[in-house]
Amino acid sequence: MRKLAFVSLLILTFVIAGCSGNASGTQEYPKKNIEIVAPASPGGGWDLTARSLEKVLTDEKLVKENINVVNKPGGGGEVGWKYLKSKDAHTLAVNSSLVLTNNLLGQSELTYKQFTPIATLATEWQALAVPADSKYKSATEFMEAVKKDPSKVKIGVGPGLGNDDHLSIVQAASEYDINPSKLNFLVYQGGGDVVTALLGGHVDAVTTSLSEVKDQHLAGKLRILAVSSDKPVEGLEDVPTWKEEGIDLVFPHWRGIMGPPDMTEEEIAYWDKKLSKMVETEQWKKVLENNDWEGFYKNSEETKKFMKEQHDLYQRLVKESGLVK
Amino acid sequence: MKKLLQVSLQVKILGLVVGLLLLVLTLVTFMVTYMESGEDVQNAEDLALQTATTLSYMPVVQDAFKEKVKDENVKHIADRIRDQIDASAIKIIDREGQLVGYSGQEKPESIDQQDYYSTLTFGGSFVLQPEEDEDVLKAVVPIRVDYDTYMKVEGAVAVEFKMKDIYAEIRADLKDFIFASSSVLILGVIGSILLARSIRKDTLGLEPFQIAALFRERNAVLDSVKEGLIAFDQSEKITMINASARELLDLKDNAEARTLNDVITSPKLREMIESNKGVKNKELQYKEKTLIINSNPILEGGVRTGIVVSVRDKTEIKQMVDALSEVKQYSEDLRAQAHEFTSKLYVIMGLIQLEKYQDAIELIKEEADSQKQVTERFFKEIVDEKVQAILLGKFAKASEKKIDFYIEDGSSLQRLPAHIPLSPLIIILGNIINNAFEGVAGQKEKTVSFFVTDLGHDIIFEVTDNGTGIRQSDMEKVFAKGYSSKGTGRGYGLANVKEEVDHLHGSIEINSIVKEGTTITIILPKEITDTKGVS
Repeated sequence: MRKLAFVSLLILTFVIAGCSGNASGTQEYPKKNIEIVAPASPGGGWDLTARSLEKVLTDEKLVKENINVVNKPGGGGEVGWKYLKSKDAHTLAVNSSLVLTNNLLGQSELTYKQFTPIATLATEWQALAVPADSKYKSATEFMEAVKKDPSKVKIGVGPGLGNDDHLSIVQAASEYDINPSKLNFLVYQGGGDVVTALLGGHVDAVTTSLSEVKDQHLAGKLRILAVSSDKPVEGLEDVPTWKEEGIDLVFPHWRGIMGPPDMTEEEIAYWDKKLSKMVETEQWKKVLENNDWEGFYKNSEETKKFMKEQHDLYQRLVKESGLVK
Repeated sequence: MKKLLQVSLQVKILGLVVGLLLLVLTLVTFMVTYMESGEDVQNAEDLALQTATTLSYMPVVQDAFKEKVKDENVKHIADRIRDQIDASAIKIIDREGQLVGYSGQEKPESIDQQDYYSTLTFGGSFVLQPEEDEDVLKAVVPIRVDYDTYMKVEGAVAVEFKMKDIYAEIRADLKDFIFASSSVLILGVIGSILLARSIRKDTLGLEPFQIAALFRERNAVLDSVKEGLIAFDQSEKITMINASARELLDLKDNAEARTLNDVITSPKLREMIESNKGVKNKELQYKEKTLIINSNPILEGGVRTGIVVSVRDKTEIKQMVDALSEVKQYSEDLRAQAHEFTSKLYVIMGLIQLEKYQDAIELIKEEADSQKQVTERFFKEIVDEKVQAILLGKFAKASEKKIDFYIEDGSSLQRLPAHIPLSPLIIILGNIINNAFEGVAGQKEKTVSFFVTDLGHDIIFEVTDNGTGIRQSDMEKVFAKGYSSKGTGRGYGLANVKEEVDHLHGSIEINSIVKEGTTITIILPKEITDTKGVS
């Protein structure tokens, strides 16, 4: 018995020693090159976010270690995030609401809880646009027509159902007491195709990122009926928000960054410090402006809370909106 | 508790085997059922989802939605697939929630829109778990129809399994398993009954506690027997030895489990024990004792598997026989005396009839004197009744043999101390007086005198005869067993005397002059002191 006690004491000592060893190790974090995963092919929004991060963090000398961007496209982000899951704290990945909706829509087994939230970086706003000569003069009029006969109104969306473009209108319809399953969505390959379809008169309306339609709106080629922001967007003061149209909807299309499971507090603190500094830099602000993004920085703790809120919202949209008749 | 455990061997074995088997089988059955049911449900889920997905991409289905025509083929393919996977129903609906194709037992009146909401809105694929009130597991997948520039969710496919059917399958599997388990259990029961029987057969139908009781009984019986008993096994190891045997063979410790050669030092005894035919009532001189040995080999199919040996002490038997013969002697001596008196009475009667009164009176007087002399000495000087009885017998014998046997003046004896009992006294005095009588048998003048005194610390008996004496060369042998001048086969007399005297811590002295006579003196201490020890 005494021997046993001795052995367990010995083990305990080793464990404590090991722990302290770990702790001292993390103070040196990062120990090697940083990898940022863009779970999409080069050129998309995720890729852009990842590369912007790399550039700003390096140029501003916030991170001394080399930062490499790797593209892991496929499965609506799942390939990249699965890859992240198997790595250590020196690998991070860009994310968006798909990390929540993939699972909710039965397209992935991964859940947001399996990762360590690092930060929310930026957001875009969603826009509902109609052709310049459309009979729908306002968002309310549009919703009223949809409510009358959902199948008559063709709405373009891309590249897939369940993305933020789609969900923003589903939520709007839900708020307007329309059964979202009745909405007549035509699914196009990408944001560009959607706008082309609208300009070509193939669809009655489109839902997409504000940046996709902003220029055409300003050029008068189409009309934006509503944006999903909480207050009017700079430069588009004539476009009302959904709230101004009487529909309780604020819908950010956010992008963020997350790490593999079980990152230590020290590692999280490191990124909180670096990223909060980064979003204050002029260079980052320039990136936001160039991409029509809006600063939406939340640190790890806030992001965790935000993700939970978003998850609950999406879950309600996906599972429960059907109750609305 | 103790009583509860005292059940038959069969019950014990049966209880253990059945208990263990039941425990294991129940555990295994439970685990298999649990895993199987989980697996079966999971399989049904996977199958439903895969089938629904496959169906949604089938050209027949795709075309039906693309062309917006009601196609009977959709129903056919649904029927065929339902048959293949044993689903309970396959439903194909359009965006409006109308059934386009259906396969199943009974066509439902309406479709629960809720089930299809997520699929129609988001194009997601789901497995819907059965809810409390319904008994159906269903997979719902969207029908995505690809128009050249865009894609649209035009409907949904649902594949349904009745949980009842899945559980029935699990039950069927479980039935097989329980059947197999029961067979194992029955085998276990039969096996344990056979085992118990086989064990009981080996134990002659006795339960272990009965065997234990018998064993204890046997040991008690064997230890209470006066005869020494030893049993050896095949390898001549002692398996049993009782207390008497240990005592007779002077074995100090418990000799069990030791071998014959270790325990028995006498080669003669070993030879007797090892004898293949066994020995019967063989005498053996073992240390100071004479033992009677019986050895009995246990034979099984001509092979010796053990030996049983019994040991008796002949010395004891001999002493008993000697004492008996002494007693017999006295009764004969007394009969001889009675006979002598009778003949004397006849002489007196004859003299009276011849009217020779004076002669008759003389004879009576003489006889009375002689009796008086004897009795006076006896009752005045020799008070001990045991010695009186012995001497009275010897007087009669001497009178018959015409031996002049008299008690010397100065003899005196008080009551003997308690540590000298009658039987050694008979052996000691009987033998030496008889020896003296025999020693004077061939003489003209036959005189034997007896002297006893208990003055001082010792009691001294002295018997003197005027016989032929003992030659100096024979002096050594007189105490040896088997020696006698009286001829072979009679010679235990003095040896027995010496043994008894030694017992009483006394000593013997013999003074003999050839042709003049012999005097034997026995000196017995009145008290046996502790320092000498009692054997």
